[in-house]
Amino acid sequence: MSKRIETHVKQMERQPNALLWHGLFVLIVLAVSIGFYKAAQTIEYSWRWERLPQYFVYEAEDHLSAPFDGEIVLEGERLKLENELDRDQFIVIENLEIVSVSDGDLIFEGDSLGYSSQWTAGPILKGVAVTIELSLYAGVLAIILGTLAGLAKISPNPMLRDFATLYVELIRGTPLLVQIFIVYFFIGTVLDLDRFTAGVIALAVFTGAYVAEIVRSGIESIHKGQMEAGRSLGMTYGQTMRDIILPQAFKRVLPPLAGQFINLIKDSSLVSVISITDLTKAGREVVSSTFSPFEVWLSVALLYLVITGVLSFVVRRLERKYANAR
Amino acid sequence: MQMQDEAFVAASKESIIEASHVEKIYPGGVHALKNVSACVKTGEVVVIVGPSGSGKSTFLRTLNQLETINDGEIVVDGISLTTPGDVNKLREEIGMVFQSFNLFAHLTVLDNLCLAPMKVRGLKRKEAEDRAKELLLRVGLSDKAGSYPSQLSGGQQQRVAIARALAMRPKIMLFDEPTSALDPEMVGEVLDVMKSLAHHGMTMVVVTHEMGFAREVADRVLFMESGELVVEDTPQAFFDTPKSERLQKFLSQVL
Ligand SMILES: Nc1ncnc2c1ncn2[C@@H]1O[C@H](COP(=O)(O)OP(=O)(O)OP(=O)(O)O)[C@@H](O)[C@H]1O
Ligand SMILES: [Mg+2]
Repeated sequence: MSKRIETHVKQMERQPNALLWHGLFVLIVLAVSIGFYKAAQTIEYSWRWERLPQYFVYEAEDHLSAPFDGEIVLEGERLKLENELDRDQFIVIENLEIVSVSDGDLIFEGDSLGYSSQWTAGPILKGVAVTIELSLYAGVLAIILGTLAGLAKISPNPMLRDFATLYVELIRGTPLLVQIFIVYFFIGTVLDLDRFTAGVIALAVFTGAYVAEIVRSGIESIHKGQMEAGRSLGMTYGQTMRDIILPQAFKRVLPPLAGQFINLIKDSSLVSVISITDLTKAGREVVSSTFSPFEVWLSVALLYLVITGVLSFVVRRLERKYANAR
Repeated sequence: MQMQDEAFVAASKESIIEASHVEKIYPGGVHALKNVSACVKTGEVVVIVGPSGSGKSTFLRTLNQLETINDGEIVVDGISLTTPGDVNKLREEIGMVFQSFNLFAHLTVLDNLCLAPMKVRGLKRKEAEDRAKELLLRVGLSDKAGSYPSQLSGGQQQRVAIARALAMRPKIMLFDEPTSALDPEMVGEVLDVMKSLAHHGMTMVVVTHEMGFAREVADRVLFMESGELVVEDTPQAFFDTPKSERLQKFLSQVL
C-alpha cells in the first residue's frame, strides 16, 4: 500500500538527483558525528576502547588443582602426582596447555598443577544471550497468549469478550515497569517464581496484550465471506479459523507483529530492575568496573541494533516468501 | 397465502426443503422475511427473483443457517433447523455459491477443493485430489489446479467455487446471485455449469436476475418482494401470465 503511494508520488514529482541528496545525508551524519567527537574531547573524556573486548570474550584459565598432598614424579614421558602416604594413589597430569610443576616438586592439596586456557563469553555476550533468551520465550508465549486473547475478543461468547477486553485494557493502561514489579514481587512471591521466569511472564503478558489487538484487527480485516464459505462447507468455527482465517490474517499482521517483537526486545531491558543480568544490566556492571560509560553504552546500543536488525531482516524474508505464495 | 399453503401441503411428502411461516428480523430491526413458506422437492430447480432488498439472500441463507430465524420452521432433509442440533452436519449436505465467490485466497484451486472434504469428510489427500481433479475437468478448469484464486478471471473463480461446493457431494446446492459480480461475457460459462448440474438432477435453489436461466432451467419460480413470498409458479405461467400486479410491475422493469 505505502509502496504504491510512494511510486505514485515519485511519478508526480520531478525526479530529484538521488546521488546528491544521499551524499548530503552522509555529509550531515559525518558532521554531527565529528561534532560529538569534538564535544567529547572538550570534556576530557579519555576513550579506552581497548578495555572493552575482554568483557565480550576472554581467555579463562582452567586450573587443575592437586586433590591430595604428594610428589611429582616423571614416569617415561608423563608427569604423575603420587600420594606421599599411599604410593598406589596417583593422578596423571595430562591435557593441560601449561604445566606448572616439574619432577620432584612437593605438592600440597589444592596447589595448581597447571592450566588450560579457554575462550569464555564475557558479561556482555552473556547479557546478549540472556536478552535473546528472554525475548524468545516471552515472544513465543506472547503469540500464544495474544492469539487466544485476540480470538476471545471477537468470540460470540460475551464472557470471553469481557475477559479479553479486561486483559488488554489493564495491560495497556499500566506501565511495563510497574507490571514487572507486580509480577516479580507479588505474583512471584506467591507462586515462588525465580527472576527469569517472572521476567519472561511479565514481558509475555505485556506484549500479548498488543499482539491481541494486532490479531483481532488482522482477523477482522479478512472478508466475512471467507468464514461463511468455510462454514457453508460444514467446517466448524474452529476449523475455519485455523485453516482459513488465521493463515490469511497472519500474513497481514506480519509487519505490525514484527514491530511489536522489536519493541519486546527493547522492552526486555526493563527486567534489569529485578536483577536479571540481561544486556542492559551487564552494561551497567561493566561500566562500574571499567569507568568507560561512553564506550559501553555505545556498544550496548549497537548490540541491540544488531539483534533487532536481524529480526527485521528475517521478517522481511518471510513477508517476501508469503507475498510470492499469493 | 391460501394458495401457498395448499401447494406446501400437497408437495410436502417428497420435499427435501420445507420452510413454513418463516420470520426473520435482523438485529437492526429490518423485517427481512415475513411469513415465508416454501418447499423444494428432491431434484427440483427453484429460482427466486425479486427486487433488491426483498429478502432473497436472507431466505437462501436461512436454509443452511448462515442466518438464524426468529419464528417459523425450516426442515431440510428431515432435520429441523430450529431445534439446536448439529448444524455442521447439515451444512455438509448443502453446497453454497456466493455472489463474491469467496474462494480461499491463500490456497491453490486444488487445495480450495480438497480442504473441506479432507477436514470434514475425512478423505485422504489422494482421494480428495482425485475428486477435485474430476470436478475441475467437469467445470473446464483442469489446467488451473495449481493457480491461486487471484490469478483467475471472475468466471473461472465462480466455476471453481461451484466445484468446491460439489466436492462435498452435497444433496442441495444454493446459489446467491452467482453471476451478478461477473462481466457479461463470463456469465454464460457459469450458467452453463449450472445448467449441466440441473440436468444431472441436482436439487438447486437459485437467486438470480438471469430471467433467461429461470425460464429455461427452473421447475418453479418464486417472486419475493419486501420480505414476502408473493408468487410461486411454473416458469411459463410466471413469465407469460403473471398472477400478481406486483409481479407484473417487476417483470416489466427487468425484461
Ligand atoms: N446482516 C444484515 N443486518 C441487517 N440488515 C440486513 C442484513 N442483511 C440484509 N439486511 C436487510 O434485510 C433486507 C433483505 O436483504 P437481502 O440481502 O435478503 O435482500 P436481497 O433480496 O438479497 O437483495 P439483493 O438483490 O440486493 O441482494 C434488506 O432490507 C437488507 O438491508
Ligand atoms: Mg442478495
